[in-house]
Amino acid sequence: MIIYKQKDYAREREFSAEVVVVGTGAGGAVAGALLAEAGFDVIFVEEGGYHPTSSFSPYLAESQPRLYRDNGTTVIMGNPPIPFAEGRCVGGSTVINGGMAWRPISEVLDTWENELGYEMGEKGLDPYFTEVEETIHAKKQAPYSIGDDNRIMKKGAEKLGWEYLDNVRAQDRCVGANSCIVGCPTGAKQSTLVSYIPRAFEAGARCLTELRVDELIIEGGRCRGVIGRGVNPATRQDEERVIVRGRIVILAAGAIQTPNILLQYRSLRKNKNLGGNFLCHPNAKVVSRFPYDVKGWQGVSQGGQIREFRDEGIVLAENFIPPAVMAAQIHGHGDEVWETMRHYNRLIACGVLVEDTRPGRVTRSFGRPNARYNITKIDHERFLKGVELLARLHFEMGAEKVYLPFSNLTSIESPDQLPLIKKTQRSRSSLELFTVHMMGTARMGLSRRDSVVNLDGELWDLPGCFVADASLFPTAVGTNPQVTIMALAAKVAERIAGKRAAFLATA
Amino acid sequence: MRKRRALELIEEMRRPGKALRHPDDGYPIAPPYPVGPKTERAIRSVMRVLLPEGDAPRNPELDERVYRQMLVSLQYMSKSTAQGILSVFHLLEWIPVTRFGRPSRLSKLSRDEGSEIFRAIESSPLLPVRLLLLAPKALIFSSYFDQPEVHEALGYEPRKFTLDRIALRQRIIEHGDADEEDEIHHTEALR
Ligand SMILES: Cc1cc2nc3c(=O)[nH]c(=O)nc-3n(C[C@H](O)[C@H](O)[C@H](O)COP(=O)(O)OP(=O)(O)OC[C@H]3O[C@@H](n4cnc5c(N)ncnc54)[C@H](O)[C@@H]3O)c2cc1C
Ligand code: SF4
Repeated sequence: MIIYKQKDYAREREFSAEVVVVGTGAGGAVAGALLAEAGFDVIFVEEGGYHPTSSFSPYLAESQPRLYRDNGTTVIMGNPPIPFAEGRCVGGSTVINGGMAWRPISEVLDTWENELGYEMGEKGLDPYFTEVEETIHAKKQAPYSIGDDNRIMKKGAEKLGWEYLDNVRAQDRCVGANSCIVGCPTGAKQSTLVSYIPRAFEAGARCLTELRVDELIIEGGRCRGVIGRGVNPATRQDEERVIVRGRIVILAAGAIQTPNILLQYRSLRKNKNLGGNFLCHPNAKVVSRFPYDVKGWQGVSQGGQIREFRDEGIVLAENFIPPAVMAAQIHGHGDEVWETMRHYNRLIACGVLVEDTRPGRVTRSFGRPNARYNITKIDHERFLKGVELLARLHFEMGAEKVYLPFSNLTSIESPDQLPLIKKTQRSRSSLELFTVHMMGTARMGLSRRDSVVNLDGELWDLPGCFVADASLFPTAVGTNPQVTIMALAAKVAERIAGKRAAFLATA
Repeated sequence: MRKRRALELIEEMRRPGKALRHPDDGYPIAPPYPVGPKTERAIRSVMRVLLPEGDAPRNPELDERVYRQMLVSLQYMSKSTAQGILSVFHLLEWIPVTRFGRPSRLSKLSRDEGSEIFRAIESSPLLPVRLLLLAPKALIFSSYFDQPEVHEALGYEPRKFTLDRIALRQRIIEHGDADEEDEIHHTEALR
């Protein structure tokens, strides 16, 4: 058997492999596939279910429970609280992401190189980036995938003289179906479900799905496997206790779940970096109404980005969303929301992405992760500026009304009202944010004083246990993170493969 | 044998389907979260105020589907989140009495009176008060605005468009590049 489901654990509750990979998202799938191809016996353990491309549809009602952790109701606590989304399915967040596939900006890689050495710089990481970009077909969009909302953004940027970059995306002949956030139904988006996981299966890997890892097996000071619970998809109840033994364990459960697994052990908690350095590129949404049909749901979400203000830590991007998500973000209720939503075909949605200035922390209480993060005064100012810039661009392109992400200034109807943003926005708590880029909670480094894992990805305090997901980031990357996560996971896999004999000798 | 099974599986992982609302991938969707009559009353009274009326699609069968879908969604949240959200529904049911000096619960007020209270909550300067409506609104709207009648009223036809695009990609794979007519344009001014 290649893919196991919860019902299979009634028969079989003990597994063993050379490498156990927890999570099948951006990091886990890459590490697992490369190690399987290097000849290791690999077993993935994935909390979510297996949903092939043919099961994807543009409807939220059944997509969200299938694909999103907690049905998309997860929140980072702080001022303001920030709802966040992450995938819970084979393919992890790559199944529901927007597909943008950028390397980090050079300044970030320069900082990494200065602090951590050549291997973490632009040149040192280049082979891994190249491997990843080839596999996920990172390239620009074809003209037939572009919709009118992208054109508004691009033309607006041109009018204002701002730098606009066509996005590089993980896609093979994307046709602009605009369902990326509920699973690409055409098979074009190169999530790990259709890229690295198939490579892993072809090389002999197995995958235990609907199995949530709760504990590590630690014997003689080394990590020797994991223990989890089968989660019944029909009742959502925890069922069988399943043991998966391995000589190497790679945690790739994402930047919130990975530290949550590790933080239960006092010996690991002693390292205060674990769970710290929590970064999340918070995001604010701006929705605008045009006097004509745009049908933003036709054409790829995020054909490009405005990078003009990147030096100030601000990136602007178009980012269309289905009505069921849009309505929840529109201010008000009842007939007031309908009045906005009835013009759904004339709305476009964009985001202001801000680079973090101060990290938060992930802790663990009652077995669950608790993420805390407060935006700073600088972040707040960046948001105000970014929202104002987007609103200006939309008015320039003829928007009749711009809906703002502020609880006390919900919309404006002309560019003359733009100064109201600065005038009314004094408190961070009136800002409405969202995020999908969590990172940094088990950072890579040169010593245990300032990091959780070494440059091989192995925990300083637990030999045999590696991390290969967004937790590894030493700093924020200032752009969409999946390619960097994949590249670092490829690096971790190569290091493990290089020491194969030594690892296998530790039976 | 194993290799052949792997190749079949890989083909299955990548093959597009029919973009069905209820996909048949062997993954059983959970039944609605069990709630008692008091909770049901609280949820329905919040729905009554939050959902649009007028020319927005509404009928008892649609409301039933929205209600059911919300309860199914609760099953996929953590237990504490689901229970927290249900407590918020109770709080909203009682909030007219406790905070706004009304003589009665939300379910006993008219829709307009309820709406006035919700407006006060939405525009409160206090973040914790404003947050009270966040989860109920997300839960109710994500279900209501996903219904076929509502899509039709909005002029949103995602399935038809998705199937056209699946066919287009297939054509491109088989015969090379797309034609100019395959481009997506709705407004001449943006060409
Ligand atoms: C809506 C959305 C849009 C995005 N858009 C983009 C984009 O356009 N470009 C970009 O670069 N990035 C984007 N991202 C972010 C990107 O997808 C993530 O940063 C990346 O996938 C994270 O990789 P990861 O390996 O750390 O975790 P994930 O990809 O989230 O994978 C973690 C996996 O671990 C599993 N897991 C967690 N806990 C356990 C456990 N206890 N036991 C077993 N399994 C477990 C999860 O179910 C999941 O499958 C987006 C994310 C989202 C949610
Ligand atoms: S725009 Fe459509 S075809 Fe392209 S990647 Fe997204 S869902 Fe797939």
